[in-house]
Amino acid sequence: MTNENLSQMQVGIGRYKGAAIVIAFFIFIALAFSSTKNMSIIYFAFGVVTIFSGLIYLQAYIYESGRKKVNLSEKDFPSIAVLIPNRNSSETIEKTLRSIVNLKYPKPFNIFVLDDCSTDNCLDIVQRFVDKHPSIKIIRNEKNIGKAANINNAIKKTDAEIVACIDSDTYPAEDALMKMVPCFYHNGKIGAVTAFITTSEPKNLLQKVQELEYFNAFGFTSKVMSNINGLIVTPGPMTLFKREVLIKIGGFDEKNLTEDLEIGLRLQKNHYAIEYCPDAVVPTEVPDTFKKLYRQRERWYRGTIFNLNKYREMMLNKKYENVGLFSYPTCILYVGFTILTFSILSWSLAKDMILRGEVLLSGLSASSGNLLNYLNYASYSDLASLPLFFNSVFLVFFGLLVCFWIFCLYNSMKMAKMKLRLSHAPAIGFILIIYPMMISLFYLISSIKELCGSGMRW
Amino acid sequence: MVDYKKTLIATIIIALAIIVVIKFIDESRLNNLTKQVSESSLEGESTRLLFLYAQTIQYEDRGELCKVIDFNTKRQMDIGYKLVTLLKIYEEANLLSDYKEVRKRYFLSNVELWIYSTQSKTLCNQSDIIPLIFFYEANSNCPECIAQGNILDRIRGECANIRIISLPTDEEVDIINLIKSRFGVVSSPTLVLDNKKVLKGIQSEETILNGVNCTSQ
Repeated sequence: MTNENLSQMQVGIGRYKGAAIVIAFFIFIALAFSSTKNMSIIYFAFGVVTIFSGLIYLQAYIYESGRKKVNLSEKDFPSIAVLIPNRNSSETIEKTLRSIVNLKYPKPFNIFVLDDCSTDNCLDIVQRFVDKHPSIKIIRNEKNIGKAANINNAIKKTDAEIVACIDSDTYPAEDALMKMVPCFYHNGKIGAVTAFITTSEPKNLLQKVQELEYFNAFGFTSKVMSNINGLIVTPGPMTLFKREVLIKIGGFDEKNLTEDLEIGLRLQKNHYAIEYCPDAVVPTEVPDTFKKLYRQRERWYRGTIFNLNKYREMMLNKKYENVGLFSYPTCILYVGFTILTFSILSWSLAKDMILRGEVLLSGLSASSGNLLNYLNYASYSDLASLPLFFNSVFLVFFGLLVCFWIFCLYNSMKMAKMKLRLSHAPAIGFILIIYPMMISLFYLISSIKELCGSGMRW
Repeated sequence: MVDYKKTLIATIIIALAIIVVIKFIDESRLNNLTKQVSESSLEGESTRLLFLYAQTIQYEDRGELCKVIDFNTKRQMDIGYKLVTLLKIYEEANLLSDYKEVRKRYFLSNVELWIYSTQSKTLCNQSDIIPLIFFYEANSNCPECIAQGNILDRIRGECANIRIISLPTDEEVDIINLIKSRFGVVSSPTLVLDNKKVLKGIQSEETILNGVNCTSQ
């Protein structure tokens, strides 16, 4: 998703509220970090809440909602329209369109490429497809209006029952529609159906790490959450919506950074269920450099905070059942925990570095010019910063977290029908240690930016 | 279906179980440390008896005895040396156990070593033994103390006759306070060389070994 200027987007949660939260956070950090004991207490509290969440999660895992396997005959399949919001996608649009024209469906369906003022040659590629497949139509815009606005305009132009919003860098498997559409006929008032989003051909370590990340998030976690109707996001790469539901709840929010999270929350707020289809595998492109990853994540995390604030009335609200009582609070817990852990680890490392620096300086004054002695004196093999990891609370808590994560990964890979190979080892090592630090840093920066309502370019 | 009330009860039970596990981990660490400090104290007790015994026999016949005393003292010092890092790590990571007693025992054990080293000089006429008291801050970060500690580690490796004993400046132990006031120790790091020379602030290896005999045996 790209946009030219920020002025169209709503950001920030209110200047005073944001500033108050940032100040409260820093006071909290100052108190919490004053001793290992205080940190332990905080982590113990987090640990207890995490155990609670884990138990709910376990119940959701065991509980299979009365999903009937619906057998739809060909004439029962509803009419469908595929919407592809598109902007400057020349690298990926060809593969996307090829996947989409290969989608199996018992009824013919229209494909709308919603072009948002592209400046590269992607439209030439699309035109080649249009010449071969009359079901593809291009809807052009005069001005750059953003993905959400494009979709809102398009759903008025079709009368299909179901709209499939597919990103221009996504290559759905050919049976995706066949698998996803029957899910609309499961129990409950279903407004949207999501799929198992995976990474397309991960090449470097960063992409392989994201592959694992997506397995966990869009595989196992989504499946478990959908058992109790706890999903709150309808992923951008591919989601199916009931068109009349979208119109009824007011369409997408055109001023939102993460319209996919926002529409998910709005569906839940209006008491529409979001279903998940684990059999529909949808590979999508993921960033291959740190810079691109950061920009993507800044948009995601700022959007998350903005939308969590927008729908704060759902917090612990029985009216919204499992979303209010579980998904929403867990989301906030996750954000808070990520930022806190990163802050604590950085603080400890910084303190350790400062102490080492001071020892170095002291050693200098006593070394009388002998370099070898100086290096010896400055060595600081004291394990004083390790107590953070040595501490019983941390050992127990992180031990449980790692076990839980491995449990999720194992199940996710089972769902994706992938075997855990030795080639996954570097990605797993990275994702267990360095990647969380990086993501937490992104979260911290994004949160501060969002709370201060600063401008954003991407 | 998801039962929130039952989950809350289950969570409380698990949380209590975790507290028990944490207490267990902390206690076993404390026990491990206490055991090692006791081992050191036991060495000290036998050395104490040896000294008392030595005073009952003639000076000329003390040779064999002094060798045993020397051996015991060195062993006790080695145990004490290993314990200093362990004590710091365990205490920092500790949540639910009480380290007051084991700390005090550890410091008293060090005082004991200093007294034995001093007594050995006269009782066994071992004039090459040089006790060196290193006063440091035990309860707060003192970068100069850490650097001084590194310097003393080198000396310990090179000079077997220099007996380095660490004592805290910020603990309320009567005998340590008496020793401090005897040598006029107010800050850290401070070194007391051969019970005579008091060096305030961080000292280089050269300054410490100036005029001091260093034997590697």
